[in-house]
Amino acid sequence: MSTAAPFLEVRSVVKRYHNHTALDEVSLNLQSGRIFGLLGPNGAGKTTLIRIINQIIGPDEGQLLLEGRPLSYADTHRMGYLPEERGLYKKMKIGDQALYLAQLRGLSARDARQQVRHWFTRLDIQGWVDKKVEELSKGMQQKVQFACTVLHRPDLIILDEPFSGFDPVNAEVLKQEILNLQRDGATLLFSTHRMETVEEMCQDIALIHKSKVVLSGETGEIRRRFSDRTYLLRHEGEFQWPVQGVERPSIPNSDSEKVPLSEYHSEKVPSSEYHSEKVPSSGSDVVKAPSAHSNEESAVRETRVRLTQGSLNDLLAHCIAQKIELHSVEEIRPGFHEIFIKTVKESQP
Amino acid sequence: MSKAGWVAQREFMVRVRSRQFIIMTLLGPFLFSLMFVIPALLARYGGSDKQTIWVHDASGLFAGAFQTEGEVVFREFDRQPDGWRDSLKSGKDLGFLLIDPAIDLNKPTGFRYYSDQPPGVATSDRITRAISDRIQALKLKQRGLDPGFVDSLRTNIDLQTLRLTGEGEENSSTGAATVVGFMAAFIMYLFIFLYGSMVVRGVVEEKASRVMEVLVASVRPFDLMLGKILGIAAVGLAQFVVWIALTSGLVALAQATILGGTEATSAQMAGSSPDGFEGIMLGLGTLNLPFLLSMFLFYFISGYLLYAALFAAIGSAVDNESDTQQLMFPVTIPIILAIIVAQMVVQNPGSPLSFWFSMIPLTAPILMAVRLPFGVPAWELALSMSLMVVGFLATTWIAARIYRVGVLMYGKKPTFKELLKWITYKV
Repeated sequence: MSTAAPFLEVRSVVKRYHNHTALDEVSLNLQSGRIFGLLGPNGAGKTTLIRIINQIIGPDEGQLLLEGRPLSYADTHRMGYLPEERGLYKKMKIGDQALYLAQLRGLSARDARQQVRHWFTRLDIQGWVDKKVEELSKGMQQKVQFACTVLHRPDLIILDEPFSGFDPVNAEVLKQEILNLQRDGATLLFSTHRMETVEEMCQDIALIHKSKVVLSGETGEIRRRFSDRTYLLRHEGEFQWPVQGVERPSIPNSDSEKVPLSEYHSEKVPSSEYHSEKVPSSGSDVVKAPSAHSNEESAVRETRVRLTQGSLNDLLAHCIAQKIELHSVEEIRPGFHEIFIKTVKESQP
Repeated sequence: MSKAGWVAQREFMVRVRSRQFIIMTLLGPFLFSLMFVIPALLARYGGSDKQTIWVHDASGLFAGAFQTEGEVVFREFDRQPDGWRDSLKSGKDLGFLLIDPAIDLNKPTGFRYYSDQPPGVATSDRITRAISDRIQALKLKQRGLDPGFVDSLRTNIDLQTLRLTGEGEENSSTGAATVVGFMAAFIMYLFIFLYGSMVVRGVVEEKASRVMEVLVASVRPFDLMLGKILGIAAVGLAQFVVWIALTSGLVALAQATILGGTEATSAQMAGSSPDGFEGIMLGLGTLNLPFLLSMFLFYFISGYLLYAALFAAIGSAVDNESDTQQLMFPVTIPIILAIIVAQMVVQNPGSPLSFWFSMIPLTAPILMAVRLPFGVPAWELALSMSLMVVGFLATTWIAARIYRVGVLMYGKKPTFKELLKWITYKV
């Protein structure tokens, strides 16, 4: 994680309700201009934390600092919030609605009108300005709601499950808009259950479980931390098992069968390409690589290995000794899906 | 503009522009003016209540006792006609009064009245009065007294009611005070319910549509609640102003055209006793109207604010409109109680009951509306008004505490007890 002063610091926040503790000494740092993923099972306390950051509710203990200063009510003008439970006035024209919400966030009437025009044009909903929410399709409503979230040019944007309710085409539009906002300097906080979102967009994450932060940090660093020294070898020639210090990894979590193999990502191969190989989740873990020739003899095989002892060099030496011609070696790091499940399981009391 | 101001503006604009508001605002005066015009028209052109009562007096004691008056025509006949029962079946507005031949003046029985429909109170009253008057006269004659002399003993006193105030005596009119007081109380009751439930619906709508979460991220719950209450108050005032202006305009128009002349309408409006109505109209002159109006306005506004805050709290506690009824019930009890007590207060405006109920802020607006036209001591008024201010500040505070918890709560409908518990929650 960067050493620069955080844009938003959540410091030892505690929130208790009469019969349970929703947040227990939660601390987070959001770095300016980055996308922060807030993960956690349902009921972990994510919504409570988001509400505290939005100053909808106050913490019982702890502090929130925005650019080093304690968060004040005026700072709500700098924040945009897209709640998980979407909602707008059903019987109000969407244009008026957007204008109203922008004014509540501190925009002048003129500024608000201009921003409404800008965003509605940009999201291609300009023609619907005089329609009421109840007349719009679900996807259209989502776009309006997103526009309402960012109209007032917030520099801290909090999105709770931003992609839920969007079809793939609009989800892509939304993703690009979010990345644009980030490029323009906004800091974003996502709460999400979608690990693809985390992997594609987040630079930092925190995983909250049972009211506590059980894992946090920069995404690349976390994946390194969770590496179990599994490698994907592309090679010609047969692997002779057993090999000293190496085991054939059981397919990840194959005991539970819950996690498909495709959740494992290679560091170098773009995930989409990797996924396309359709590694069977059971049976042989040796498949034909995309580049394989039809010629059986020179078929390039893929083998997953996990080092239980020794170094990667030992493995390479072994391959040379076995006359296995290696084409490539890639480390396979776990995806956030697996990290999530593993962390949550391990932190069960 | 403050955020509560923006909220109030939206509440006002959205409601005033709604089709429902426009229709109600324009239709209301038509309905109200019809309430004035129809009775007047009916009295003028509609079927009269004319009724013919045939009296067969076999005793011969009641000759001339039944005087035709107004719509009821008495006809005496000597013998019982054969077909009278049949004519009763076919005839409308027809009655037969049969008096037995032997009437014991000390124990008078044997008066029978036949008609196709049970007689109205006015008709049966008139008949019994005529009979008892004649019996009284007959008894007086038996004792050798002149009925005319006894009549002269009856004296009609017109009691002039005066009220002693610091500045001297003032005329007061009980009739006018009663009418004005009840009207003001009723309008207050209507306003509190009509616009109070509009507040409930507005809050529930925000919660049900989930726009609440976005709103409370930009506006403090208290500002949101206050803005809504004030915005709806403005809607109510606007509607009332339009109603009053249009209604009086329409009534004036009706008088000028279809009814022709003020006198007729006023008289008809008051029903069968034009004297009473005129008395009230004259009595109005004795009331200090500008003072009364400003007092009404004060109780009107403070009473609305007091209840609207409670209604907002109730709206915040539930997820959908159908759940509001049960929670609204405890809040409506004081309003209904006030209307009941108001009847007693009119009988005795200075009683301890009147005093205490006009001090309690929950009942004061309606009770004071009733009492004010009768005159309320200055210190009582001052105390009641101060309590009213304290009262609405208190309910607003309590409501805001419940509201800020309620707006974030979804799921189970809370009980009234749980709502009270929310007051102490930390958010």
